[in-house]
Amino acid sequence: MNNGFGGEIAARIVEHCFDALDAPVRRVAREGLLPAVRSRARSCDPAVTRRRHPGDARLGAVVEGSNKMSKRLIGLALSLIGSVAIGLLAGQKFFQLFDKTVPAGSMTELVRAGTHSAYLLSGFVFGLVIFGWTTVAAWLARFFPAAAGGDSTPPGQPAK
Amino acid sequence: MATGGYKPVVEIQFSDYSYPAYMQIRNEISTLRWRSGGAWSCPVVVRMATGGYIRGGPFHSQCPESLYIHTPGWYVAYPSNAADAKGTDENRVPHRRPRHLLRAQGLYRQVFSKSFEPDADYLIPFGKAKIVQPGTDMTAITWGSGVVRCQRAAAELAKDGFSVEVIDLRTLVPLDQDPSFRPYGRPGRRSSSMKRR
Repeated sequence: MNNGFGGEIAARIVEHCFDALDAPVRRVAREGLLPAVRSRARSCDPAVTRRRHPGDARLGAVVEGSNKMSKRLIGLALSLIGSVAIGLLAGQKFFQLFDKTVPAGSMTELVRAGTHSAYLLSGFVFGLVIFGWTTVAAWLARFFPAAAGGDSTPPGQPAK
Repeated sequence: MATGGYKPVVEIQFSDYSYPAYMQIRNEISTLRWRSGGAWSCPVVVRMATGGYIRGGPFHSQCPESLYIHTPGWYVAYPSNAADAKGTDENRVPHRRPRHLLRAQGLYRQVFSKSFEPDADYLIPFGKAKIVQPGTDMTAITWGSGVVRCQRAAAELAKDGFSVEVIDLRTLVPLDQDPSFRPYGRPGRRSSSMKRR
């Protein structure tokens, strides 16, 4: 990539079409290194060669950038936190209901604490199940674009 | 031979092997017309297999096109498929400039670079790029083995709703400025651009 012909094109684009650009000009090319060589028995390492050459996927990766991925990760994290919080809240509420129905003094403090933690634990597991199911459902939704609202704005694009 | 009126076509097996001839390429051939006041010229054609993707070693995988586009006097073509290779390779037309024809060796014997063989009159004018695929959201300006990879990436991005324009420069010197820059002139277009090789 270093000092290559792409830089010449980028310079001309910036010179002539600066106002028309919505994003910086990016170059996708082989790394500025010599081709991969392994000094031992095999002269070349195909895996290293693959990593250093622009593969089919790298253009797409440049377009979507880290932006989409980080958004996806934030979404997953929020979903996980929300699901677990709902589960824990439900566990707490059910435990309070259970606690009211049991006559006072009929169980020791140890049994009560154990039951409480059992309720919270099942709430936590319930939250994980919700998270898992929503994640799977969100993943499945990409196969049914019509159900998701038809012509939705693709990821990474501002609304039209 | 070229100065004597012949039309030699030199095939260099790998472009990495062209460096021993760089003195002649850079000093002798490129300046001959200038040195002789236009009296002599050396319209030699040099064909070279170029670039990576063949798992070659350090002397079989280089991309020296930036050396040769910096060498005044030479035309540089970098076709991306068999038909373009023939169209730029044709040496019947009187040509006073020496020409480099860089072929992406990663495309040799690949199904996707096959094309119908054009007839004998098929000539691609130097300095004429080709819009391989129209698009609206983004432009990929590329050449050689990058073209098919950009097309594949564009097909992937089309699934996400992106419309990617792919421009094949075909010849690097002279560079076709028109298709590269015309899309950007339209107001209100969302466009970024990238190049790969």
